Amino acid sequence: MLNIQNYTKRFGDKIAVDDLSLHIAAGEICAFIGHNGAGKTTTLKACCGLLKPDGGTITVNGIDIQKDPIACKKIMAYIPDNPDLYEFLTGYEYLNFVADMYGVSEADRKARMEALAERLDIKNALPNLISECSHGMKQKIAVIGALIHEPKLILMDEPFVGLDPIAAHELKEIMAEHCRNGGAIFFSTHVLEVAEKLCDNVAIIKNGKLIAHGTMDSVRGDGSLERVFLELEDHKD
Amino acid sequence: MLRSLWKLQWKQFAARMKKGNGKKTSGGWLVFLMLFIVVCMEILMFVVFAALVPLCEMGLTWLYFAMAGTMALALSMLGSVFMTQAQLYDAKDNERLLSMPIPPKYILLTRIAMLFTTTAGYTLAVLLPAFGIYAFSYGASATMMIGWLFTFVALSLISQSVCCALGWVLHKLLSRLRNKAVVSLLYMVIFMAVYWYFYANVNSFLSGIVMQGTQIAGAMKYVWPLYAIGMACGGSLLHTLLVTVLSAAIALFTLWRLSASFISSVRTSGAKAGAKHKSGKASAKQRTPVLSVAHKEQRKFFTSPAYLMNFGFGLVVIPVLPIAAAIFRGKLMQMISLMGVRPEWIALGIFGVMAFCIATSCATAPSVSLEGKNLWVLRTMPISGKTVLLGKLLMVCRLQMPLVAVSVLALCLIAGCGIGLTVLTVCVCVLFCWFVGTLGLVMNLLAPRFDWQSENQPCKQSLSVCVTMFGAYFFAAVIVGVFFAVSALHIPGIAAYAVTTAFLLLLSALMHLLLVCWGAKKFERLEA
Repeated sequence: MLNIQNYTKRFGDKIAVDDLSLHIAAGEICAFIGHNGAGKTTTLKACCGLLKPDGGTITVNGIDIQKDPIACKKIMAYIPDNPDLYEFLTGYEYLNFVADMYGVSEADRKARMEALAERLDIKNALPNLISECSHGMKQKIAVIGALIHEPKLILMDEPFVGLDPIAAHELKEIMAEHCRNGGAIFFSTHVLEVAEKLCDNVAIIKNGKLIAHGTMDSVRGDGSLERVFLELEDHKD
Repeated sequence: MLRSLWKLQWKQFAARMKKGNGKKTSGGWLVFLMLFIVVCMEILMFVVFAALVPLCEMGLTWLYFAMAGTMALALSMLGSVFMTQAQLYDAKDNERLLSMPIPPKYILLTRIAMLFTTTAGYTLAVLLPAFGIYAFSYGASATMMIGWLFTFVALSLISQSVCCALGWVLHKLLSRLRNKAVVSLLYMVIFMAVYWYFYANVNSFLSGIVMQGTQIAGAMKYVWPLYAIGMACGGSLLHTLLVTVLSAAIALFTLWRLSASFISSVRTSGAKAGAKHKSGKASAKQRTPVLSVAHKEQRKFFTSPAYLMNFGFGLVVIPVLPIAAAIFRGKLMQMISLMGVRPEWIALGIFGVMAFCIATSCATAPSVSLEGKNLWVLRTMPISGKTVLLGKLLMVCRLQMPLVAVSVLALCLIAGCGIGLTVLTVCVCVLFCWFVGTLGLVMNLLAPRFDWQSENQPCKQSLSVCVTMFGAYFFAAVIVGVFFAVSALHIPGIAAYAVTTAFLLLLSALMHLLLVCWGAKKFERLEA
């Protein structure tokens, strides 16, 4: 589904991501963990075509995101860490806008909006302006916006930040269902317990370099993910 | 603590002057533009005070300076009130600072100190010509100069205090309104209407003031602060002292009152009290991506105070022009027949006026920059850069073109242009909307900025806006030049006009091609 091959990204003299290679197959949930400033957001942004790689390639179902971005974007969705949505639109207007971009029919968008809004308990807030919504509510709207066109690949940057416990639980359920139905999810998180319970694979990045990657069991071993992460961070120093 | 807050204000100001990658912007064009505006304003002020200086010969020197003081107060208040409201109450770090053990008066003081420099600038722009004209005509004593210096500071303090008070009122009003953008536009329209009324009648006003100077002086003496300002500038040390004390008292009182209500005012901003906008439709009619982007842009335009105020003015003026032409038809037709103007030149004149309005309302010029932190939304959607840009262009064209077409049609009918000329004039004006729309987008793609803190930055302090506006004026002049060049070849007027229209069609088509080819690729590579 998602294939990152030798991806490198520089910002001036700083190498934000250095020769990163990663593969996520259909049906997998992969957690991307690392310290602040490790390169997680940079990698995710490159996967959805927001940043141009300085080296390497990123393909989605065999299609290079740089060569045919529209074909890739049709089957993927991205939820950023900060839900900077159009504050001058209401929740419904924003979701209809997104649905228009993906060509979702009126009947389908209505049904999906209602279902997801019910699950995430945000139905009452959707008629309001996004500027009047709290951070968590904006995050929920961003999640619905990402799911409204039923993407195959979902890229999420710290999706649980700002969500209340019920919404976080529902999002985990939605993620699990998505992968059971053949989709794939690649998301970054600092909540290692969620990563442990939810994910098939985990990738750990430090200072732009991938330092561990594999199935949860192979990376974690007998310990907890937290201990492995802390040891890897110390060891590589 | 005060010093730290002051440093913070300066760092925020400096950060706004820098590009997102930390490099300094080339401020040369901005300085040039500001100098240009200052020079225009100073020329006007010199004309005004040269006309008022005869008051001094009538023994009404204090009235001359009182008038200067009144104008300085009016200009600095009009120019600063919105900025004061935004800087004091809409600042993003208000809540963060108030959560710390910082007295509100310190926060206000540092913010007001920054605003004071702008207010003082407006005050000086009026007082400098007033003082200069007087000094040139009658010389200036030492006591006069002391009076001028203290009066300048006092007037700036009084203006700033009134701005702060009005800013508080404005903040209370805006927090209750659903659509702040319309209020901003209304303010702009009223301001421009007053400005143009004053500008059109300045000669009669000034000569009236001079002729009735004694009566005006008699009435104004009862308005003691103005009388005191006039006397202070006239060299009275007592009045200089009184004006200084008065201004300090007003400033301190304003600071005290605002400090007392600052926390509750900021809480009002945070809670976004007032009418909540509700749009209850779960699903809307499916639109194509281009139409959807255009719809989104339109919502942005009509809900953003900065965007609407700076670029919506043309939408108000364009339909008013034929109404004004109809009212003053008699005078217009008289002037036209006296000047012996040919019908093609009338049509060209109509184009010139429309082109000015269209160029001033170049709403596409900040459109890409205004995406700001939301750029990721469009960039992650499965749509091409061409779709986005066409959507932005469509928004502006469908707002402006019908208005322009109807307005030009009405103007041509009022002016008595024939059918052929009317059709061509409508075409050329509508084409100019298209041209300016594409020009604005191309300019913004050349120099986009996404790291702005306030929408005023891409709307007012943007190279693309400046270049688009002046570029459009230039191209309008080129169009007129083409007409005269073609006419010089002894081609009949209407045919020359048709050739000019065809030239603009070609120009617009080329600009459009540039936008959808180069522009689309540029948009697809943008990184916020």
